[in-house]
Amino acid sequence: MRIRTQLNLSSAIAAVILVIMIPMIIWSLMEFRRADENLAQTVKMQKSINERILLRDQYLFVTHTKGDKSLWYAKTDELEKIIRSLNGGSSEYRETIGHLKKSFEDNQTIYNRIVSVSEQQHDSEKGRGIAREMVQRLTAQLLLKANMLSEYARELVLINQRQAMTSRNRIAAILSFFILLLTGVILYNSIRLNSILKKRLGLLSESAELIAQGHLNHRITIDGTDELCDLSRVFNSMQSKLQSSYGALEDEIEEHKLSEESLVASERTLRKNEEQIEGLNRELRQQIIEMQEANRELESFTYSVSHDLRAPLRHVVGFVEKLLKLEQGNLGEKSAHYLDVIASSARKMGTLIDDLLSFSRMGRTEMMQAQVKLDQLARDIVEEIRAGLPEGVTISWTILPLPEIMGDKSMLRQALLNLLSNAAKFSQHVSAPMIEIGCSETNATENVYFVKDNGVGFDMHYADKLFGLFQRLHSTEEFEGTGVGLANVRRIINRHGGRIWAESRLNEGATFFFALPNIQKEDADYEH
Amino acid sequence: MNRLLRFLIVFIICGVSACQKPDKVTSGPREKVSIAIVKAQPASSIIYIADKNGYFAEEGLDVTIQSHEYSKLALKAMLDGTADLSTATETVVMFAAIAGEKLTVIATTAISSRDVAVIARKDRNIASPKDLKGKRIGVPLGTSADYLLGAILTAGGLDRSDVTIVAMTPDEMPAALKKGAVDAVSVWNYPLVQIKNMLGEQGVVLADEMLYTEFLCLVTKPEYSKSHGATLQKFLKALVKAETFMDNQPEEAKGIVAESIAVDRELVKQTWGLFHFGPELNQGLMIALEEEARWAIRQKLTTATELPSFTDYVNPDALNAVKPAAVKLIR
Repeated sequence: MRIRTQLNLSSAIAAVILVIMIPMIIWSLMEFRRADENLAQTVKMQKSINERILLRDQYLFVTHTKGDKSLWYAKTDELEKIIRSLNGGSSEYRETIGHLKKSFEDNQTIYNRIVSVSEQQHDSEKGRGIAREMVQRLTAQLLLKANMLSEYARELVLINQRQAMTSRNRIAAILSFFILLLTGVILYNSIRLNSILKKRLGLLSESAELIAQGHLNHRITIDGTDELCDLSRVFNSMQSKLQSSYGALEDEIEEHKLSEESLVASERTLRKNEEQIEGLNRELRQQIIEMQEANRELESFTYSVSHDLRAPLRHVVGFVEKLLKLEQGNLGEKSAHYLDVIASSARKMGTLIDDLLSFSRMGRTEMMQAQVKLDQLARDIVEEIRAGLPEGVTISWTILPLPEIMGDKSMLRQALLNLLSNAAKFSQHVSAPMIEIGCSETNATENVYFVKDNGVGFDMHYADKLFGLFQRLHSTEEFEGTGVGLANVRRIINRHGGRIWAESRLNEGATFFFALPNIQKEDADYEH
Repeated sequence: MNRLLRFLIVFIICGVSACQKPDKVTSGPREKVSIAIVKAQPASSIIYIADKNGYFAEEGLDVTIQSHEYSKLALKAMLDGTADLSTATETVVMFAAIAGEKLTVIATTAISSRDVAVIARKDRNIASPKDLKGKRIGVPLGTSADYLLGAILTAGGLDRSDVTIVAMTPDEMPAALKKGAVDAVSVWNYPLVQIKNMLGEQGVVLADEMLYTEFLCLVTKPEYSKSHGATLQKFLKALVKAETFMDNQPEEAKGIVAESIAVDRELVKQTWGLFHFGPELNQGLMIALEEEARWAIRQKLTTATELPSFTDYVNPDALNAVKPAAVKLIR
């Protein structure tokens, strides 16, 4: 049963007890009052009877005066009124009143007869004797009936006393009973509630202690439906959640531990990898240094070879020309043709050696960093190219705004010149050649420039060969060249820390993009 | 908790049971007591009720009832030693006392002012007490009927010399009246009602409840009273039970009485209301004894000339022990 219900029930029982008790006490008090009033009345009656007996004796045995007789009658009237006022009560009380009234009437009758006989005048001695006898008998009966009257009066007093006592005892008994009942109800409820509270709170306290000690799987045993059982259920539910949370937390901690261990292992691996990378980098740097050294040596060798080859080659060309001049007309047509081929090949070889020297120089020349106005540079180069174009060739040039860039102006000029010359070379045979130079993208990191033409283009399958040394996608007969230009452009762009690529479709023109780092003067240290 | 509740309930029940007075259970042989009573007398009803309802047995008494025609004979039986106790009217007790008999009244069992009367034949011109002058009146001498007759005569302005007193027993009266041997008789019930019924319209009852009150006394010898105080208490206890029964179940009581004395139930009903039954001792008995003794001396019905001390003839101890409220003697 719910504790609140129990408390309400106790209050209801207490209220019912009071509701029953109060009318009973009121009724008992009324009974007591009635008995008390009756007692007072009967005591008064008893006193009146005793006084009347005195008056009777005074008249009958002493004075025989009319005054005393009148007093007796007066007292009798008073007594009669009292007797008439008596009523109610128990059957015993009513029965005794009946006897008392009869005795009172008998007394009155006998007294009247005594007075009557006493007052009769008798002529004869016999008559007087009989009258005396009569008076004596009546007097005896009067005494007897008066005694009975007194007894009945005494009995009424006793009944009323008993009644008063009974009423008083009843009040005491009712009060005692209901007080005991109330006390019992209160005591019972107190003990019961105390027992429930002690048991439930004990279990709660014990469980709380067990949980505090870490016994999360502990649950309170519930064997009731009261509020504390509800609390215990909530407690058990909380405990389940706590256990679940704790389990999850433990899992998380475990996972965390595993993660930490994994992290430590990863870090260890990372450190190991870093160390490996560091080692590899060191090796790489060493290889780079070695390669650079080898390159330098190779370039130096190339330069030296090229430079050394130029003199004999010039001698070949010079002597061939001199031979042709000296033997002009003496030589046969075939010999002359051979000499021309030798001279021409020697000159071509000289060009190749020059380009190779230029390429080699680009790799070796120290860069001179400066702010370069590319659009101005482009315009100068365009003018230069335009002047060198064969007669009849007109190219439409578009130079869009080009952001300034930090770099080596002569190198950048060479690169732009190569790109624009290539564009002019590969587009001059189309009907309306157009070349556009501009900047497609600029941001904090880099500027992307482009050179676009509507020339012959190239097959993108060979795009990776474009920037190789001595790589050519067209025959010399179509377009002259040595295959060093774009390799040179890539070297320049690379030395500036940039990158270069091209997009094209055969016969639909080509676009060369190159990106240069967008850096300030003080940061311009991008050469590797 | 429930165990505690059960324990409390059992404890309370045990407590209540312990407080209840158990019915008296007697074991072993019962004490023998004999009592001489007047059979055909309403005043003996309480004795029959106590006997028939087993109240004597409950008190451990084995009571033998001796039936006599009238009080004087019953008292004589007790005085002769043929009975331990007897019932007797105060008149009989008075005569025995002034005659010097040793006896003790331990209680009265019935009181009535209308039990005794003179019943006369109308055809003898008797309508009131004064009409008794010169008439023959039958009466059991030395009984309450004798005393009542004197009172009726006095009320009629007569004395005993004005009439012819014929001594006779109640059994003889109906026939005497019938054949005219007497003109009237003075007698108690049941003979009174029986004669009245017999005479019917021819009978006239001359009674005066203001002149006489009859007390039926329970009498024993002084030595028995002293030696058998406990027995007398048991006897009175049984009578108290009978009194309660008669108050609470009067119709059943009347039936028992009628059956006990083999009279018509109607007869019992007619006389039931004339009596106040129950053991008691009140001062009226002393007054009656003294007055009747004076009367007996005045009328020279006894050789005694001085009143005995009737206080010495009453022992209220047993009644006092059983029902103190019933002892109303002034001492």
